[in-house]
Amino acid sequence: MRQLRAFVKKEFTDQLRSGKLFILGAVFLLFGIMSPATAKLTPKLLELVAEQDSGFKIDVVREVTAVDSFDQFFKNISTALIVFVILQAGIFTKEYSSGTLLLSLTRGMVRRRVIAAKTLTLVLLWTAGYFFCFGVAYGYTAFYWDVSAVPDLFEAVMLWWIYGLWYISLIVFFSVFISTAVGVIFCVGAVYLFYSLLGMIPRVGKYLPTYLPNAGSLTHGESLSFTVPLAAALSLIVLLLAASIPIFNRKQV
Amino acid sequence: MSLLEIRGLEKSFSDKQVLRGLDLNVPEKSIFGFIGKNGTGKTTTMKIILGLLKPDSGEITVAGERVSYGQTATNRLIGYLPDVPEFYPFMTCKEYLYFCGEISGMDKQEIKSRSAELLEAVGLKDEKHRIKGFSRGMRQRLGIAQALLGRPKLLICDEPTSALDPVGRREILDILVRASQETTVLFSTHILSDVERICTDVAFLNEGRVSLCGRLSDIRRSYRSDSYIIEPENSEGLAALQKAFPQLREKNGTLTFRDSELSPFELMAFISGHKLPVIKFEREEPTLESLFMEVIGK
Ligand SMILES: Nc1ncnc2c1ncn2[C@@H]1O[C@H](COP(=O)(O)OP(=O)(O)O)[C@@H](O)[C@H]1O
Ligand SMILES: [Mg+2]
Repeated sequence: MRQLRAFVKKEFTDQLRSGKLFILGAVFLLFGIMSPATAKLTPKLLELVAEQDSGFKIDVVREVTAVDSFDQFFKNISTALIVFVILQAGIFTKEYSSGTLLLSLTRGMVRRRVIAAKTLTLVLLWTAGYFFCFGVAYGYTAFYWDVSAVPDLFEAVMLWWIYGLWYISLIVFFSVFISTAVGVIFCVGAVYLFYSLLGMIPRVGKYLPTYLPNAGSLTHGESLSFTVPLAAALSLIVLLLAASIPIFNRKQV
Repeated sequence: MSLLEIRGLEKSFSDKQVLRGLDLNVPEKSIFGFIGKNGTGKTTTMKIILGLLKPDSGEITVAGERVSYGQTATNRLIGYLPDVPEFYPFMTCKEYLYFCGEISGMDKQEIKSRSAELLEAVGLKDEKHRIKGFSRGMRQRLGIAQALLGRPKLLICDEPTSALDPVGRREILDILVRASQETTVLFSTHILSDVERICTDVAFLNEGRVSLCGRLSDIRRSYRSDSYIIEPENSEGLAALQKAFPQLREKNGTLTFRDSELSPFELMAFISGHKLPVIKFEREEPTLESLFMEVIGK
């Protein structure tokens, strides 16, 4: 337990001093503000364009609501996730290439605790960043619109959070084989691509983890089932993390 | 009793056999010099001792306990300084030692007092900067401090002096000598003068085996016993000696022989009988270099 805590503390010191924590904070804050702001400003911008350009007449068909703001949030958060993956893909590989892991391991750091500590660090960062981003977006949205009418918001938010956890397990899994951050990013991207292609097969798509980001549509009142993709994502997470340990135990550093 | 025992260690990388049945005994409280040319397998041997590499065959024990690959319990007895030590660059040396102490399960107070003591000993007491900006010498010194943190029974240093200037080397050697008061020191090197300066025991690694191993003083004595050098003052003397004793070997105006070949007293009698002026008549004190060359058959 103490080993784990010391290692997590070390990871956070790194995140802080390398400026990654700051970048993540800024990105999540930005997207948190942007989501309601875009929803609020888009119709105004359109009106402005319409007034200046007398040739066109744009009808603002319907009133902007909290749902539009959350739509923007679910759109933006995928960009934030990409930034997160790119920023954190080197969390293991950096230690291989610099050789810093060697001394920790010869000091008796248990290998599976290295995995545990780094996974925990990523989960904490993602969770804090994600809910911070959502919190900001929710705050602004509640300020401008009525949020009580948005259906299934909680489910949608939780499903998207788990979607992010799946990417963390992919980073960890690929990091036990691959020795460069670029390689890890490439593999995570390849997995996304693979599932997206698989998802194009009719009737298969809605059972894959890559279906989870559609959770945003729940707030439109659509009745979609996420049971299978959720179960798929959760079991993949467990499987990937569990498989990482024996492979990492045999890895030569 | 030997603290570290290695029996029949073999290791190949793809088709290249690096270790071919290496045996080694490191006695307790020794400063053990592990000598070998570049690329002979010193680092490989040390990594196997630390369970970082898997040997093809052979057995290693540290304080009687077997070393296993992967999760290596014997490492709690060992402090290790790799050939190029790498630390988390974003930490200060104090933070790094604290981190090391925590992952090896040391008591908080003990970490603090021990780090302060070690940082003082290696001359990094007042260093407040992050490790990022450290010089090679500072890294080596921090490396020794981290290796000694848990009061290991065995300190293993992989070429601790190789990349340093003479002053830095001197400092590291002094630190190792001081460390040897509380622990056994095993260090690898290809710099023989470092060994001559501080080692009590040596082993020469050559072609995957230890070709000579033992107390430095014993080795010196056993080689010393039989080799002599005479340097006559002039060429007449040289010629006279060579004529009278054809067993003598000549090299650049000096003559050498072994006492198994010729009695030194007979030779002395001849020199004094013929009143031959000599500059030097001495029993050869073998340098490690000459020993090394002899051992590796050059
Ligand atoms: N991981 C490896 N893969 C292939 N060959 C290696 C590896 N590590 C070391 N070697 C080879 O093994 C030999 C011994 O290396 P090493 O133990 O580093 O020697 P030393 O430390 O005595 O200079 C060298 O010829 C080196 O090329
Ligand atoms: Mg080496």
